[in-house]
Amino acid sequence: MNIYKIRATIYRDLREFLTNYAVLILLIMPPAMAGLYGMTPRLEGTEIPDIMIFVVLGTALSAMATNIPLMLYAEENEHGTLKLVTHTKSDLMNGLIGRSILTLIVTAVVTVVSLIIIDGLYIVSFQIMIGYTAAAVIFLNLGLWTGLLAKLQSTSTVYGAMILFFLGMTPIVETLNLPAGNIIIAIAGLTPVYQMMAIHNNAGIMPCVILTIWLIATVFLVYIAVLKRTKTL
Amino acid sequence: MDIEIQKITGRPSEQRLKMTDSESLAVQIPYELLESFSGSLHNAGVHVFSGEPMYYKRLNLKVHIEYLRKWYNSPLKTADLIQQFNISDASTSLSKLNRTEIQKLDYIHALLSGNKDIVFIDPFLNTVNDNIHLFHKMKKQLMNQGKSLLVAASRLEDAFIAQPDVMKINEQGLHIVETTDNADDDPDGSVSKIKVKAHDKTIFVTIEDIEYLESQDGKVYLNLGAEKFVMESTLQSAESQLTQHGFYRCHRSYVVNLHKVKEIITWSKNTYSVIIDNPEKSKIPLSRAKFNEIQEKLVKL
Repeated sequence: MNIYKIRATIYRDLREFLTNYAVLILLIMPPAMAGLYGMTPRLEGTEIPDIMIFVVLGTALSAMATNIPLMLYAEENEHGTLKLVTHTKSDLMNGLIGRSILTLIVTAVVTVVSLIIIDGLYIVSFQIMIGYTAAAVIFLNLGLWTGLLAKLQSTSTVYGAMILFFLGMTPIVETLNLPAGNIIIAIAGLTPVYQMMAIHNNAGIMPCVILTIWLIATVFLVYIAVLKRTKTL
Repeated sequence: MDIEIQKITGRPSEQRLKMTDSESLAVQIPYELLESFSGSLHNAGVHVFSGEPMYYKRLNLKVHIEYLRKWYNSPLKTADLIQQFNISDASTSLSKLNRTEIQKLDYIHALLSGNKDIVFIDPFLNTVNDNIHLFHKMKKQLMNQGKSLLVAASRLEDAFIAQPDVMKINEQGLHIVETTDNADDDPDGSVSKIKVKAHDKTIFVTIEDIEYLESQDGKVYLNLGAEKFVMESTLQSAESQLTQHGFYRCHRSYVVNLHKVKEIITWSKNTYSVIIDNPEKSKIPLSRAKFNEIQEKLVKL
């Protein structure tokens, strides 16, 4: 690990964030969604439904932690800029760590801002924070994995949208009034955002086990993607 | 750092191109071998600069330099580099800058690079004279840093822009570029046309249309703007034949038509080029020993 290279990556990505309209839109997306949900009419004195808060959390995770690295890597792959300074696996890892650190910080900031807007800070607890951190790393890994393998920006949009709808916004399934035991509900119940909901509802150890499996699986996928991408540097 | 010639030519060879600290090399490699040359450098621990500069289009030059400086943890200062390389607009995004301005980043990148061995492939294609001066400035600094530089050019005249001593790689291997002088032929008397070969045709070229002659691989090539013909003669014989028509041997491998010379450029202490007055502004190497003599001849022409 080279601290200079990690810092350099954070420096460059931060400037890229501020000049890239696509990234800026992603940054605005979760707070905008929180604002819209926050305006939903409800009885005076009642809190916003938990599902809406978790939809915003899932959107923040998939828009930030997944889509930002996915989009940046896809653009670098398409234009060849990844090879500007990245010539070895170690360079790739240093860049990946730098990008991950910045992405996680930005994700945390955007999430807090979104929770404040939607008036949902009440769900925050130590357990939720642990679950959220694990989910953020899982979403980040999905972004790194797909990003490293995406050759074109257009394909990254497809990957990003799929992760956003199927993994980020899964709590919406609850609003579909599907019968209990439905296959869609069962599958949704295994997604990372659902584990956060389960943790919030004191569902025991199982959500932590499922998150750990997700974590191991996605770390492995990133490892494979790094090995594959190193070959073409 | 050694580069195996057999990896480039694909033929068995013990020859190696040796890159040594604080030394530079210039080598002419035919276009068809450039790809294998580039491939032989893959994962060889050298920093290769080739083709179009690839940088982040939304970021400006200053951010790029600062980023590269941070990445390589270089002691060089961004402001000094901006000044040294005459960067006038450091805060405009690269998407709005022209190629010659972006090319300066390659020179700065080479200075900042943590790699000791630097390779430039065809650095003088589509560039401007100011950038060639900056290239030489960079070369000098690389030597001071103890790095080694290899310039690979597909055109011999471009290799001579980098430095006066040039090597050549072709399918037979690595060679030092030398004159192919051969005084066996007797020079002809005064002529107005020259006979050249083009495939199965024999063409008679008007002498005043010739821009310059170059000697490569034992053959003499005659350059007329965009056209190039093989001449059935030695360079020395051609020189004798053409001297009275205002031609001058400016380099061991080149004879130039003085009437077509536009200017002479000094790239570094020992590196000069004669610029031909054509749309490509062809750069012909000029030997150090001939620098004063050609000027006298041009004045008296």
